[in-house]
Amino acid sequence: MTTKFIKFEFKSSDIDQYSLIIQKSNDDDFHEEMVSNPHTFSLESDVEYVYMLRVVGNSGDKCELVISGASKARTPVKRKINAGQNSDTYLDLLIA
Amino acid sequence: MKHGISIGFIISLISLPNYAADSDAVSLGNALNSVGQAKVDNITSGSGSSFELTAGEKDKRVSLKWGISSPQSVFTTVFSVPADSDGNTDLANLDGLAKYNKVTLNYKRTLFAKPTVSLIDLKTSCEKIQNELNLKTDEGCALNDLIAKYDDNPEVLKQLLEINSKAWGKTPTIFWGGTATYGSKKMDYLDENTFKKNDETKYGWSISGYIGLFETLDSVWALELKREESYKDADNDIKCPPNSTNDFVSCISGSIGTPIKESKNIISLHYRKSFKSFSISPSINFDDKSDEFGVDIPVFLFTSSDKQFVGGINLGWTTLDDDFTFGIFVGKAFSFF
Repeated sequence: MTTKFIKFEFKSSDIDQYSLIIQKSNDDDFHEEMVSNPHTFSLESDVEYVYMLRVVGNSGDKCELVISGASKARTPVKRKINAGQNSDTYLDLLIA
Repeated sequence: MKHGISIGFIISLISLPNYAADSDAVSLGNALNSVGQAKVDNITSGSGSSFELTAGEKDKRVSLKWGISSPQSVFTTVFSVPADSDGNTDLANLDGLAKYNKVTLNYKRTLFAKPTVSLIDLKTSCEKIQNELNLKTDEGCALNDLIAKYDDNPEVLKQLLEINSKAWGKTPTIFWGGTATYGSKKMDYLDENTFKKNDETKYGWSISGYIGLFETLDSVWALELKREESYKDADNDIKCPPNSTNDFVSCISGSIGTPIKESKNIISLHYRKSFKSFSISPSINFDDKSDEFGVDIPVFLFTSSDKQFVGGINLGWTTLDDDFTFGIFVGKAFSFF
């Protein structure tokens, strides 16, 4: 098993309260959470993971999640809290 | 941890008297907000820094804020001065430091509940709906975008809300924190014996703790307990000292006597809710020392081009003098947090 260091960096001038958790797609026993910003996870190389970003804030607040070091990941992920809502939830897969 | 600096600016224009909502950088309202833009005054501003001017009939303030945060907690420092320091204020939030130059320290932490199912189950459920709706699945699952897009399709909306509910867990998202404020104010008064003008710098402070919960997607509750010590002006009067040298009498007006110390134990309950066509952020405030009671009800009715609520009417009432107020405000954004 090869370990890869995948860095998650959350950028926002609006939002400061958020949660990012990551699990292996085929093993939900693996469960880690972002506790600092930026945060580097040690993940198994070439394994698929699913992560969820939850943010709370005000309508119109924007943020950006930058993922680096992964074999395959959508980045940057740009999110905005919709009008009339106080939160945003985003799920996606990545391959370490 | 992150820290940053940004400058934002807002002017709230109130065309009718006695706007009292969300104007104090210290209040729970303060703590509920986020940073970097013009929404400094909510329960816990976010990180980053900003500059803000709010203007109302009873309270106008300029503030400068700096903050530092980690994913689920934020610490901010707000320096603020009143742009207009005349007179006593009887704000519906019962804040005795509303007219003080002050510094406020604020810490807030948010506790996110764990999802009730595995993330891959959530992602698969979302993907299933995306496939049924012939939507792309290779751009991740932006749940709130789907909820906003299909809010007129009850069947799809129900499934999306179910996924959202599982994603946010069984318990509501809770936030808690505390503030500490210290401030000063130069207070003018007339000596009660000689009627000569005097001034004195008085100091006040407050500490508060709050706890609140997010109800996804569109409402927030918060309860705040605050201990405050401040000074208020003595009652205003007009005095016309006798004058034996001519027929005319010169009169002076102002607060007669030294400022009066006030202690308050304030309990506040706040609620924020957004509806399709309007939003509300009422608060109920009670001072256990004086039995004074205040209700503040901003109703946001007008939206900006990007569909944010930015104006409306404000209703307020305090038991002090049975003072009922009505105001119209624009340029002040509705905020949950």
